[in-house]
Amino acid sequence: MIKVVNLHKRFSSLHVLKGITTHIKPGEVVCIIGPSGSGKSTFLRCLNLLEEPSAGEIFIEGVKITDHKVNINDVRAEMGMVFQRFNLFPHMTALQNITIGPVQIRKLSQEEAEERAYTLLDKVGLREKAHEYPDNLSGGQQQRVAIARALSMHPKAMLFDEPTSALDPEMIKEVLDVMKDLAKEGMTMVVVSHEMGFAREVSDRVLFMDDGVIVEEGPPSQLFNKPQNERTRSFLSKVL
Amino acid sequence: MKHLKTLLAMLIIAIIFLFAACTGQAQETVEDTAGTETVLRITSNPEGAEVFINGEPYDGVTPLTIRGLSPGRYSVEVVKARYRKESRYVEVKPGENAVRFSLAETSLYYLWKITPLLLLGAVMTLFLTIISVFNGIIIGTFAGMARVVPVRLLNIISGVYVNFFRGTPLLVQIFMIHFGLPPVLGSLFGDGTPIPLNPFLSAFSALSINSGAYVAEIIRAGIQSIDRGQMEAARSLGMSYWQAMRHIILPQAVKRVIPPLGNEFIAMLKDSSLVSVIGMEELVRKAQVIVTRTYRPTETWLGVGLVFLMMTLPFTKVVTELERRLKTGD
Repeated sequence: MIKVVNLHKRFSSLHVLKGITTHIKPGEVVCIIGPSGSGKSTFLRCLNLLEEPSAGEIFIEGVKITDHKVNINDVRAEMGMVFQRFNLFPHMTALQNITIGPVQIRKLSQEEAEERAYTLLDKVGLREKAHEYPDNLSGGQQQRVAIARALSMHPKAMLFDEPTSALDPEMIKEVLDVMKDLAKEGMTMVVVSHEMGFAREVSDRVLFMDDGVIVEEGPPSQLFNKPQNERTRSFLSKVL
Repeated sequence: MKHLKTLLAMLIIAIIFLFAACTGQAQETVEDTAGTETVLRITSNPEGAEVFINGEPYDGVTPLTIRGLSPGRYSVEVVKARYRKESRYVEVKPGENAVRFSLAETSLYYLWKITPLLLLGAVMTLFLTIISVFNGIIIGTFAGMARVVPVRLLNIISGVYVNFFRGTPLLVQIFMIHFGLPPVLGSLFGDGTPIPLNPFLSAFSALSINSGAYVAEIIRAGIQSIDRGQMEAARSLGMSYWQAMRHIILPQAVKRVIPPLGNEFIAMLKDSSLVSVIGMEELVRKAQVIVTRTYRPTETWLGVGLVFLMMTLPFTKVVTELERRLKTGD
């Protein structure tokens, strides 16, 4: 579904991604772990071209999105993204946050979009907050609305950029629960996370990144219990 | 409360000025003509002043003819409500004597008399400022957006515009348009002789273009103050840059630029006084004309200051209130 070939990203003199190659299958849940500054988030942001890769190729369902002829907006509409800092639109209610995409991009009618939005709000357990503005929601609630907003476009894959890092501990669970449900439904997910519990429990595959490369990858049971690489071992010993 | 104190301070200064202005001394003009009977004629402009001879009230008001005085030196004082009283010593000789007083209005009465003229000027100032800032907001919105959109050419053009008009004095810009443009217009659209611009047109153009440059910076700052994550979230949904601008960035930016736009309006209200130099009949120009006629600069310019204050204070209050509300609401 998502195929990445020899991806490089440079920020002027800084070489952040030094050749990433991987293949994410439909319905797969991939967690990316690694120390900060290892290029995890940059890699994720490259997948929907929020960062433009310096070199390498990305294919989504066979379409080479790194090709400049591809309409970048169509690509992004198929990839839901959830941010560390939620990035809800503060001048819109939760409901409006969820309907703006379908109405403006998918050209759905307002009624249809709202109907779908309520379904999504039910899914994240926030129907009663439909008419609240983001400022009046807790961090966990905001992130759940943000997930619903990303889902509103019916994406083929969901990208999570440290979705629980900005949350108070007691709110992490409500967000992870929503993500677990999504995984169970068969959503293709790429998750950059520091939540080792989530990675171990939910993911099909874990990528350990350090210094711009994938150092080690494999099913969580293998990567967490029998890490092959010295760097993986030392990282895991610090976080587990 | 803060405004009240400012106003009070202004009033106290005003009163001090008025008292200082009251102490002017009039010069003596005595005309005497030969005659048999000793007569003192007292006239004043305006008429109807009460007369005091050696401190004693005399029956009647000016113009007044006093007969039966013995020759000698008298103190003559004329008093009229709303005018400054005036007194002088008159050497009364046998025969016809005449003394003429030219009474000046008291400062307050003078101010009251020129108030309609000043208000007329203030209306022009306000009108000129409103249409210029309105125009400036239209120009500035385009120029401000042109500074942030990812189109290099637009960035450069609006950058040059903004920096030129923010980096040169408004007075120079007024001269450039009013005096610098006519020859250019003449050679472009006429037979080479300069095409003069009327002061209103020059003033309106200069203030609009100047205001546009400042508004452009306000709009740019407003757009750039919106968290980058907002644009990213909008784009990640699949919105185009323009869709994101229109639905996500601009609605949030509008709220943030309203208070600074209010401040820009207040600044322009004051700076518009510069167009008086090209003969645009606004508040300051009106005052200049009044002063050349009345020779009373102290009260006139104080009045102009007060009229400006009357215009800026309410707007300042409105802006402060808006800032307070937008801070809590966002």
